[in-house]
Amino acid sequence: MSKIITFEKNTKEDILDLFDCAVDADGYIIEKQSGQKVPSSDGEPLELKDFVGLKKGSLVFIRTGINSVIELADTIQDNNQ
Amino acid sequence: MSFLEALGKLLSNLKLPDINFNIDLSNNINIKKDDHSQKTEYHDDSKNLTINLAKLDSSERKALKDILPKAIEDGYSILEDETKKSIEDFKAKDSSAGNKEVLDFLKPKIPPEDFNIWRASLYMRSFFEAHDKPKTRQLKCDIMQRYGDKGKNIANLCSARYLEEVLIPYHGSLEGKYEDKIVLDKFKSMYKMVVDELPLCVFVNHIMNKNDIKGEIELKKKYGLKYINMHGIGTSNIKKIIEVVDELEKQSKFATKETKEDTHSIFVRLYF
Repeated sequence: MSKIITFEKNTKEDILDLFDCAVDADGYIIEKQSGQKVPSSDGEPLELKDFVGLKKGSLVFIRTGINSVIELADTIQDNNQ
Repeated sequence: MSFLEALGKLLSNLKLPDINFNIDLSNNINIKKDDHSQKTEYHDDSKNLTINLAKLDSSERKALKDILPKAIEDGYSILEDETKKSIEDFKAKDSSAGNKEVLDFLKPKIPPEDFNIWRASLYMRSFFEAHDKPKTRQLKCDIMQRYGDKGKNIANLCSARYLEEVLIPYHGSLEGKYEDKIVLDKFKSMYKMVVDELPLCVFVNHIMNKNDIKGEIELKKKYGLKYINMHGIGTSNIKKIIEVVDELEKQSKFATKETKEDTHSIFVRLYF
């Protein structure tokens, strides 16, 4: 069983809101409470346009790109085993 | 309470007449926002549940907000639907017989950090060979951003089939002649040179002018190999390569040549 919940592109900001995050004036994802930019798994701040999801590891914000696709493909494979 | 139990309770609280609350949620849960759809939809055949944020009132939205962190705790990934499709497509191609064979060949022989670059490059090649230019460009850009010059070199080598036509045959030519450890050492040494320095080839890109191409050829001639391959994709790169080859031919800078050209790419091998 693949443990995946999907969301459509037009709900990105709603998804962030459901995790108490928002987007600042420069397009970066921030924590609502602290106003701090949230990093993606590479440690760099993440823009809304590059945000494609969340995963476990406390809470990991996933950046778009082939590297994330490979990591997720391997992780999901592990979940199935 | 697990995420699925909490979700079941939430659905039950939504009091929807058309949903049986013993539904199997094992297949897919999708979140969307659409003014023209129902609050939730469930398809028995596909076992897909869709939750429509546009139709949830504030208390229902809060209830969803309360249970989503539980999904993450339970090991769920929450992904944009296009990303899920990319993962499924990648997994199918990554495990295809052709890719699996070459990846199984490479894995014990190359630096571990190169392995995912080859996986990404083989995935990119599937779009390149299907002439899907936008997707090829996007993936190559991704590979270059994430893995730098090595990523660019491997992506180019992979697209031009140097793995199947140079690296694997080279390994085959060593087997039987030497002990396994020597075969591996020789292969590793050849691999490093091919990937880091591209001694056999010049990949012409849109930034290079004709003098840059000639300079690259001169640089590669220093390896003392019998030939150099030139690769170009797209009308302007094809034109530059043809012109450079014409100019070098007039100056007798090479002995013979082989050319393969189609509408979107060119390959020229110059023998010295």
